[in-house]
Amino acid sequence: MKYFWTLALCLLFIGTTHPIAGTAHPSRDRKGAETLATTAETFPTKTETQLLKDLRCLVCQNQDLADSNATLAKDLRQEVHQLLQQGQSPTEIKAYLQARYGDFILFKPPVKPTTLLLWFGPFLFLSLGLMLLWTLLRK
Amino acid sequence: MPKLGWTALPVILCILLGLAFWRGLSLDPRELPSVQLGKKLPAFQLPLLENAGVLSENSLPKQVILLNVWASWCQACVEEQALLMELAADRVPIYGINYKDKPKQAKQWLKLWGNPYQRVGQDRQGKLALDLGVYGAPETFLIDKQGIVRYRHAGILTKKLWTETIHPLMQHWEQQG
Repeated sequence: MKYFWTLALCLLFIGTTHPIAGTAHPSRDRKGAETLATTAETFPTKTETQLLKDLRCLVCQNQDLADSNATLAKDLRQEVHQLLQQGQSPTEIKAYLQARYGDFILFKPPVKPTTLLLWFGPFLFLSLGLMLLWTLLRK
Repeated sequence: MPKLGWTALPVILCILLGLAFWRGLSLDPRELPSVQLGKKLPAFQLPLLENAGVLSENSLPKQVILLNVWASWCQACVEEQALLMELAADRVPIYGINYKDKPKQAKQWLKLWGNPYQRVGQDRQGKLALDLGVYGAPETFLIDKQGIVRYRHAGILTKKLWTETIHPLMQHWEQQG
């Protein structure tokens, strides 16, 4: 029982931690591209804002497209705006961008074999912990 | 003995976790896998920088080439230019995509830093770049004889990268079909 709390804390720690860690290495140039925006950015609709919040800016990776000031984000905002104007659905636009920039552009990664551990790892570790606890407490 | 076993468990777990985090810190989150690998180049029609022609996916030669995305506003591009010039002197076919640039500035830049490109297409709106999933400059793609993207590097090309990765890859794809 003496080690119960240490053990429980450790398991809780592992269970709630996701394998996401990152540092920025500004190794190349992403600023200052010639802005060729033909139209000024207009106020986005609710759907558009929601969509932009689900998309990650690939330059400032912890910002979404709605927030980022990077040139790439501006370009992509414009692209999303145009596609919406053409009557494409948010799902179609997400698929369009995913086909070019990969899963990384989505803040919510899709469930597939390589992301199984990411999605279900916490539950796996939690059940392992509970099993361990169960056997320990029964002794 | 069993008592010691349980005491050691949290310590072992913490060490393992620490190692996992340590590894995570040394990974570069900017190294994104390209979705384009194994796919054909998207269709494009870019006006040439030097003269009146067009650069399209069909006008590329049926050989293994490098496709380099650059711009005159891109300071990092200057850094890899010396290597590109060296490669061009060794007859490595390099094609340029001038990304969101002004033709006049692009031409000046080439005069200043050298022109290693067989031909340069102007992607003024960044349309091809978007289709290729480019998110900054420079970026370099390796295209095989069938026009399929086989490798992508986002960032500055280095001598090490060339000798260890890109050159062997070019030789490999040169021998295929």
